[in-house]
Amino acid sequence: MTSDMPLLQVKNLEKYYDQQAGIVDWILRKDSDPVQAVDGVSFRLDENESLGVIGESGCGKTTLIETLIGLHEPTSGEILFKGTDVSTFDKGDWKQFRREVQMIFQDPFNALDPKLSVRETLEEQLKIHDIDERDRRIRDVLEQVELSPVDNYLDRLPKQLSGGQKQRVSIARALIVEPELILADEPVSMLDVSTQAAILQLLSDLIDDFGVSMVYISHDLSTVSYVCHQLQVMYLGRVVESGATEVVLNEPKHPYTRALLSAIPIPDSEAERERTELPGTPGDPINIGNGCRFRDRCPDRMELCDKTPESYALSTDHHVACHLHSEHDDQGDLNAVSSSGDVANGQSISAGEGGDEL
Amino acid sequence: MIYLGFISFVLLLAVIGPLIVPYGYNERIYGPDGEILFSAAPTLAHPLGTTDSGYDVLSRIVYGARPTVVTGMVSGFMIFSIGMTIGVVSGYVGGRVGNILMRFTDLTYSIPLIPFALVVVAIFGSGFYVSIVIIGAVLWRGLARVIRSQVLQIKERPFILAAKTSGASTPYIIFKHVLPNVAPMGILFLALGTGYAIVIQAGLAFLGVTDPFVPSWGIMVRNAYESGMMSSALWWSLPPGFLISITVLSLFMLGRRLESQITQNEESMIAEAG
Repeated sequence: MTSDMPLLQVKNLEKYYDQQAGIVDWILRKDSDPVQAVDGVSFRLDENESLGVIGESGCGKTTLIETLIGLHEPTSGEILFKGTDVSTFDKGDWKQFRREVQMIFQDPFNALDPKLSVRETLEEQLKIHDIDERDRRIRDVLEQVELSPVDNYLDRLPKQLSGGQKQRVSIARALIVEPELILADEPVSMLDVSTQAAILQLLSDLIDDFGVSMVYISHDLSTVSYVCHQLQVMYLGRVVESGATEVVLNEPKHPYTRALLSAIPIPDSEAERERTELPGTPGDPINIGNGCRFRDRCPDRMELCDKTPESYALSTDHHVACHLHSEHDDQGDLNAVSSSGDVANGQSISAGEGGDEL
Repeated sequence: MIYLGFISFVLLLAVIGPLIVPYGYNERIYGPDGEILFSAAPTLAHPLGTTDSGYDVLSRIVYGARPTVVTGMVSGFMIFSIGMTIGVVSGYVGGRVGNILMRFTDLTYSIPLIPFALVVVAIFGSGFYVSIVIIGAVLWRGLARVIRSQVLQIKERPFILAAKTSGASTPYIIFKHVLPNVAPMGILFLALGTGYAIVIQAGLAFLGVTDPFVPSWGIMVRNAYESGMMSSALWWSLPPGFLISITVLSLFMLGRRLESQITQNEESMIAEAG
């Protein structure tokens, strides 16, 4: 797992957006507070590994991925791709990077140019990167994403494809240049459930059979166990818990992760469990200052929570940013956790089932 | 269909009209008695009568198709090329460049077209092509704004982001992804702009801001007006006016038709896909 040079390493990445200042602010020379969309995210991703980033809408997942692929300049922090900081890339490096890192978008209905046929969409990638044997590659990649017979699909326009087929085409577009890293931004969230399963299966096959790495973003915990080895839980721009997928799903430590897990429906009408209710909605990540960002909604809030929690290592592979675990001795944990212990236990069953699919 | 037919008819007249007319546009018509036929009412030999200078009205109308078509084409081309360039660049590039271009567009919006034309003519002298260029140089503004808003919308769609993340260059994205997707709107506005340009050009001709020796339909209305026979010689004053209106109406309707056909096509394709 730990080679010397990870494929992708992110160190303390921050992305703040300036707010559009109103005319009154401008006259008063008042600086508006930036939106702290991504705040201090770090991780490393090795080859042939997949990382899931989980969080609810507005927690900065999409900003994170768009910053990773270079659509936005990070405010601070480093992104190292194969050991090189992307901010030092020259034009040739970027071109290489753009070939080796591909993105799959959330919305298959808008991810394909409505004026281009499937063939033209795929060919575009090959033209940009000057790759030969175009026809063979296009056919191969369409077979890979299970759009066959290939001839039926080659000349279709996006309008003539269903949502699942469109998403397959956009996966094919990412695959055709044989990337090393795929960034997937909620690739199944807009598809119906049966299509979701097929696409997830396809993605996890890609990791296993083709050796690509993947950063998979989702708000849906029930899908991540299909594809991800590692998991990061984000809340309002910060990572609150990270670790191996099974560990995080089976032994969630952060109150927010527990709440997320308890929101997954159990397909059993007899099952009873205690739910962790989260009051309110996440605040705006504007001028939130110090302290734990989850403190206003946290069921286990303490005085200490006004201080920003550090990331505590529970094991080599499991980190949590919560004061409940600051001593990281199990005794202290149990006391603090007992109130919602049932939730964690109930969850371990359903998450275990998902884990088997890996 | 009927509109397409009429536009084709006008285009045909513009191309072959001068070859088939029986009389020149400034050829005086003599009656059987050897006298010039001034303002003669329609007869079989001259179905639309003659003007107060003794010209055959029908021949002049046929000749007038060509200036109309030239006006439409030249100013249509100017409107389309300037408007598309400014709209797409300001929309796609945005930022400071986009701002400057849009403020420039706002500036042209503040230009009152007819007084502006009068001033330009005062400086450069009146002429047929001057009047067209004035129109083209101002009327692109509507197209530019509409196209810009379309581009702003399209450039945030994931397929543009996808092209960016695969390393496509900005010109490539503009030509391959942005232009084809704003083209239907551009064509609609091309049709509307061309029609509007023809009306304005006729208006300028009527005001005397263009070359009075080019026998456009606008000039014919002006001549009829100046002769003081607007109401007495209806065979002379009405047909050019009607022709202008019908040509412009046909252009508008054709543009709308094209637009709805494109959207309909897309809808039926969605239905096919299920």
